[in-house]
Amino acid sequence: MLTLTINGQATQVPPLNTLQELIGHLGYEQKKIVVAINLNFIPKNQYPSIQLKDNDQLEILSAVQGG
Amino acid sequence: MKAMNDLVTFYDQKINSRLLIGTALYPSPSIMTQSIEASGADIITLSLRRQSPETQGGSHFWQQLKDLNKHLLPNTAGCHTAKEAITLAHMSRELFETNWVKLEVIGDDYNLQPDPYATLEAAKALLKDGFKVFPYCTDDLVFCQQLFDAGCEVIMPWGSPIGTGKGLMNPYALETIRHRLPSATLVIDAGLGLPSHAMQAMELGFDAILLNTAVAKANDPIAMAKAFRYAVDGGRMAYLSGAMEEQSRANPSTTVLGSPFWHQTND
Repeated sequence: MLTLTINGQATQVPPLNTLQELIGHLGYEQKKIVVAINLNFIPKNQYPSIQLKDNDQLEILSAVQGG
Repeated sequence: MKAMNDLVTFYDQKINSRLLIGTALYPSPSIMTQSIEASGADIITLSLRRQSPETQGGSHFWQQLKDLNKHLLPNTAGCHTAKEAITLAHMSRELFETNWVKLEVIGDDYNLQPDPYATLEAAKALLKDGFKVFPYCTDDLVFCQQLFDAGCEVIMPWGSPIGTGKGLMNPYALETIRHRLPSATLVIDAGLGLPSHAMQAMELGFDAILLNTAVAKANDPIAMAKAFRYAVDGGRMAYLSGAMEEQSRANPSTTVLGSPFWHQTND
């Protein structure tokens, strides 16, 4: 298993090769989301090539109301 | 009521309305939409937050944004370091497909005062990355000047801390910023509670105001949005009209020539 922190929560996921696979695994596919790993923005076109590592910290965000 | 062709410039965009409005804190999505329409705003602010997959990536909110068809100004609210703000700005640019960003880097959580050093650092990095930065700052002249010198064509000092509704705490400082940065687009970003506060800002020569809580938390947000719209237009028209010089002594407005009951005195 891979241990990731996703939106502040420690999460165990099956070994996945790429960020693209994780997005699918978590049910975010086709959703309007954006991702940062370890405080670095990851453009959508890089999801298939980003390899996940143990203890990576992910932020998966979407649009909300704001002032 | 609004002067014709009196547009306000935000970087390369000419905008009709001098009122920018937030999308948060309304009693319901429908009241949010109606309030924004009533305000006449062309620019709305919004943000990014953690979401679970069940929320559908905020799909209902996306539909509202589409229906409103306004310019989007995403913020970096909640960021406490330059790095956080820079990352969030890049995430916003991809999701909202705009290079506009309302840069907020908070230095103190009690009054949500921006951190001037981190704000400036983030602004410089984002400008270099092709963003049009709308920085939230205090009414400190040197802070505003440094942001402007860095390339921020829009500067957004607070009137008072976010959400307080205290109005313009330091009109002298704001007037000085207007005087010292004549070519900047100046927006009062925070702290307005009443339409009279907005009018005062516009009378001082500010180019626009940005509101959220004052409208969203009013008993009748839709009517309050309209009230702010009129105040902004009225204040702008007053500024363009040129106010009279303040006098320390009373001067009768009715001529004294031919005053009845007048008697010559010897003193």
